Amino acid sequence: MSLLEDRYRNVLRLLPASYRAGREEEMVGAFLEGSSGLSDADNPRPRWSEIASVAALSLRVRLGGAGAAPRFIAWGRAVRLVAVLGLLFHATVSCAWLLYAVLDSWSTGRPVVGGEIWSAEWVSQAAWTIGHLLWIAVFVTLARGRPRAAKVLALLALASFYAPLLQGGPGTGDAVVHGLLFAVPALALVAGFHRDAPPPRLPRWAAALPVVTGVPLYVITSALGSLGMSESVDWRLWSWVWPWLSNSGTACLAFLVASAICLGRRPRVPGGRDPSPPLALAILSVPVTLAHVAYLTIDTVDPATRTMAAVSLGQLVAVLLCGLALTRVSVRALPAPPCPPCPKRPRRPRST
Amino acid sequence: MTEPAFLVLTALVDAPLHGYGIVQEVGKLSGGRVELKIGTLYGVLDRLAAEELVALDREEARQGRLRRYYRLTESGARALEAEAARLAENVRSARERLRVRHAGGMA
Repeated sequence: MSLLEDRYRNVLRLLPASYRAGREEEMVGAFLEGSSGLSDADNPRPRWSEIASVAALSLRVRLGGAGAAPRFIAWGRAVRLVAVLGLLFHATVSCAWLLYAVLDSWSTGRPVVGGEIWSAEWVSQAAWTIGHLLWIAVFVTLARGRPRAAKVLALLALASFYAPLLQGGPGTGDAVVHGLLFAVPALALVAGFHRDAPPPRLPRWAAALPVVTGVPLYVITSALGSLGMSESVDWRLWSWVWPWLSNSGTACLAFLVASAICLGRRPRVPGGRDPSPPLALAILSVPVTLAHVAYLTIDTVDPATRTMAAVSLGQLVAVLLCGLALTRVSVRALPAPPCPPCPKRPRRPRST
Repeated sequence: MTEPAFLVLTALVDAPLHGYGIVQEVGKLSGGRVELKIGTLYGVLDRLAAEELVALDREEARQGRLRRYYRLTESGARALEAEAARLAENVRSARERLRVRHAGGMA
């Protein structure tokens, strides 16, 4: 075996074993035919473009590409569900925030983007507003069946979140971890809706979901905010409510509700549970947990902050327990891994 | 239909080809513009085979290496014909509009 062949076979290890069993010899043959004339003395290596093409093929095969095994199809559906659920959450929160900003501007007469034009405050607020608009646009574009445009918008939205963090400063590390809430659905969108994946099959009305869910979120948070200002409300009650209103707290709440629905639903036939929804939620439990840990405050100084810390810790434990339960359910429901000697294995070739 | 898929189907019109043969033929058809990588080629072949537009024709061993030859199926030929007609119509529309534009510019 030549050095180049050995190295190319190592690259092919990126592919699932079952796929390699059917294709490896053929791919190695085709690759070496196109690389003739190279000897070991040249220290040849597969070009980066060849490695990238194998890596992309591996991703498509593992995420339910054409002719993929049932297990990989389930993984592909789960990753696409991570994208849809995560992006719906961000679109909902963005809709509620923008509604708040617009109504506040309307009632106070202050512009949505305040400060002198091109000042640091103006740039920061403009980036914040554009970021929220982009997350809504990402979900709407995806719901309308245009994943490629949604990917471009998602990367722009992600850049609008991470760009201000490049300046550094206190809290940057926490913000980077918190950013996983945005990064995971965006990366799931890029990876899951590959060219061999089925197009998004969301009903037409799904494009309106950010408004349908964002308006009630705005109404509830505004009502709670007004109540919090009121002196008639006991601060003890408020310290139980406040930890649910931050971005990571709302993510916890949304995750727990979705998990309860998913775990509470009985399969239509015994053993017939679709593994993709619990698997998608199990994946989402990771960024939700990390984002929550990033802002967990243990240094408490008074009863109110002690209560809030206890509620936050309770949220974290609930998310972790749900994540574990979802992982267990999805592992049990996932189809068995495809066996390496799959039916595509070549027959003994006849010599020419 | 993506451009690599279109070119792979076109490459298989005359005769069944093996993996590297398809890469060479696609290079010739595109005037060297499209250089299919092996990972890309087999992704395209998987998709075309799943849609039954190409099928395995035969397997051979040459210098100890496996070669699988793929052929265009009848539905593959029909799909290619439909795509070629669509592209030709687009080209015709573009040429027509450019002709009108050039004629207007000269007037």
